[in-house]
Amino acid sequence: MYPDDATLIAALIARDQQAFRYAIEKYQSSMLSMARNIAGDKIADEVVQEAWMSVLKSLPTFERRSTLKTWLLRIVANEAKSRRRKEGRSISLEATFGDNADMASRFNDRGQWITGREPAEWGESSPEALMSRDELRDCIELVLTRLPEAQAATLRLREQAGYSFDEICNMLDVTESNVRVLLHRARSRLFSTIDHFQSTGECCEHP
Amino acid sequence: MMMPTCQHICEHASDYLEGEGSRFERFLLRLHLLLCQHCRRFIRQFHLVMGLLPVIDDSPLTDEEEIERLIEKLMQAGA
Repeated sequence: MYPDDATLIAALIARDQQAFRYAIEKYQSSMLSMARNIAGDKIADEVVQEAWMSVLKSLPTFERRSTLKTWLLRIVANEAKSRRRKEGRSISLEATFGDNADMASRFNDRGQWITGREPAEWGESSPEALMSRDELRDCIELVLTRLPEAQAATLRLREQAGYSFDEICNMLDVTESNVRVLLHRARSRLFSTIDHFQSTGECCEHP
Repeated sequence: MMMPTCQHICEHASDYLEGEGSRFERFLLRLHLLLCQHCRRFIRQFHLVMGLLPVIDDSPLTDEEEIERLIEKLMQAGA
């Protein structure tokens, strides 16, 4: 129905109800996840609703330097940041760094891979190939919902919304070194999840 | 500066793949990768992890009532 962003954007600007339905079905869950990670569960719904209102206002001036999805997520992230600040809520830094025990336990005291704990050979050569395996995709999505809040927020801001480290520091009110640690921990958790799945055929988390 | 260990490579994979670090640090890291197949595999696969989020689409919203409620709000606001 909407083969590309341009067609969808044109229909949204024309206030086509079907286009809104399509966009809401497609993007609402990602927008909610972004809002939850930055502003918390309680006000995430309101944040996304406000973001849609901003989208409505700003669509005619959208410069299309990014995909529609990235642009929508940036609007949500900004709205979520403002609401979080207004509510005086700071991003939860407890368990910020979580622990990286799983990765650390794979090395001996000289910092070398322990035999049998080296990374498995995954076979897949692209993120798309990894995500095309249903069970693995479900597992990754489950782990994403269980990442500590600050790690998930950092990961989404960097990799889904494409923000720089500076911008993420500003959005979450944390230092750049914290952002780097958070991001690396989140990625390491995803790495361990996939690696575990590839060696055992099972997810490390259970619904 | 000594040759980095496998654990060091693992702990600094994000920095390396984001292009951080001095030229010398990056040289030592690359030298380690040249000699260590496990770390080569780790870095290659960690790089795949860094590309995951853009291809993840959170499950589409299927709650019909919620969709209708939102559409109504948006149409009202846009009217």
